[in-house]
Amino acid sequence: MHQKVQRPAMQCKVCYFAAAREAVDLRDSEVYEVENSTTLGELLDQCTRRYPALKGVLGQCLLAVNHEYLPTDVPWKEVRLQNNDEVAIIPPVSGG
Amino acid sequence: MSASDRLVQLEQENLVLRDRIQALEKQLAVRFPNTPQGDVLASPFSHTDTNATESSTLERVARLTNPEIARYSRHLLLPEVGIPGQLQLRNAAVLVVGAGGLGAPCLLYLAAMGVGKLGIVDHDHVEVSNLQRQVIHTETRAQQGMSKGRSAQQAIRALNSNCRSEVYDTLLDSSNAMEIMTPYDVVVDATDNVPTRYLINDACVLLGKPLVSASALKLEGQLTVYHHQGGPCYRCLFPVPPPPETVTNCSEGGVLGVVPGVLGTLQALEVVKVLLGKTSPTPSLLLFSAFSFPLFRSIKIRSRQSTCAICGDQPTITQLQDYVAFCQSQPVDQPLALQILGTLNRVTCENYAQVRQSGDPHILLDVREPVEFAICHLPNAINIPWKVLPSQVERVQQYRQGSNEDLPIYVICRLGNDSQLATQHLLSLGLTGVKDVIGGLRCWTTAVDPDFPVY
Repeated sequence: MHQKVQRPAMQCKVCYFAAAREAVDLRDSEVYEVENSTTLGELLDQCTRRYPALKGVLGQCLLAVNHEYLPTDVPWKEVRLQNNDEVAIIPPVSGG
Repeated sequence: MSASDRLVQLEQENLVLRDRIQALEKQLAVRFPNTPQGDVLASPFSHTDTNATESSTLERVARLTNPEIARYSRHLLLPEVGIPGQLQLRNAAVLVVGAGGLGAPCLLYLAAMGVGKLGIVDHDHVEVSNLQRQVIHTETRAQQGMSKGRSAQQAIRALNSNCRSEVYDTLLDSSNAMEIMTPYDVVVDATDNVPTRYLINDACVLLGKPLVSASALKLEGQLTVYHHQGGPCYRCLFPVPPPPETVTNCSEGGVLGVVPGVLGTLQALEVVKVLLGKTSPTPSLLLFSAFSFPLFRSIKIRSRQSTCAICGDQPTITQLQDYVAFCQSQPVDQPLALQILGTLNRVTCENYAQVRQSGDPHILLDVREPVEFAICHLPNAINIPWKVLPSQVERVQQYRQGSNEDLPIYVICRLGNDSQLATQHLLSLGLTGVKDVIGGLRCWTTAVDPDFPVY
């Protein structure tokens, strides 16, 4: 019997820090189910759809993919993610 | 009281009086710029260590003395430090900007480990609410309202009398940063606000100095060594300052005492590594999160960004800027007093106290967070935090139902800022008879009830 081949989805983990963590109700991290070869921009759209408060924070955040920071001049829509990639959303903290 | 106790007391009084003289002289200089200044202080903003037999200028030495060998023997036994490493610490001058939660442990460890000279920049005074984290200060010095720089200097002196120290009782700004920072080998950013972070970064890039930077708020902290061995600067990572309304500071958001302690201690470690030439070739942003697992995460941050406005290939910033304008916020960790509403929709605490006394029916809406409401609140207050108020306006209206006329609503918070925003929001929805209580509960304590807690 022929089964319809489903496009395998992949999983990406998003870690939230400081103000980003507060915008997502104090969650440390979450796993998102995304389509294959999703871009960072698409993943972050999913995040902000789930947590609109994150939208106001994202603009000044440093982003890291797999513990490596993403230079600020790289557009998010050009960053292709792979299965099990980990994205960190890191706002500046200025207190002391 | 023994003679030595009396001597200590007199020394303390002397220091406080010097602080007071300096503060008065500053006021005088502002009001009468041409008045010649007294010779109590050698420099307009610095106190040098008066216990030092020589000037506070660091004299570099070629060998350790026998007492130094005895004192630092645990360092000397480490192959990674040894005599050459200890000499590098001894011959180094480190500037710590901020003698608060981060600066406190950082300064103590740098002094203990034998750094030759420490500069301390802070314009603030010690307060009792500092003491849960700023372990360099004491109850006595908080009661005296001693300057933080002075207080830190006393602690350093008590810990290591060989450590030279210089206090800059001033707000670091574009007019003095280059002069203050120039004599130092490494700069530590232990400040609490956004504009000063950009200022220190830019000055370090312009002066070619490594910057050991950390921050702490609530349960989290960050640590990075900037502008060192081809690594990025603060602007490479955060080119745009956050909008001021999104910035939370320790006096508003709170901070767990040991969190800046962890980060400040790590700053002292990074200073040692910079001085000994032992920093990691891969620069990183270290993230600390006290109640999460793992406690630490390290993000690789690679090299500087070629497009950076100050350390890039074609820098557009070649001198210090106006950082208050750039960040649209003040270089302090206190929120500014907002002026949003006209007098029509505001009442003073005294007038609101009369309303309470007369027993006129009304609603008191307290818009602080529940955690703050639990610290203290006025009897019969209703708590709907400003953050959720826009989605819960019907709750306010429910409280009004049942009365023949619209009950007046008085809105209160801690300092009188959020209460104005909440009042403005309710008025914009067409609610009438809504008034902001000016100055909030802080003002309630000073104007009406001195027994009401201040936090």
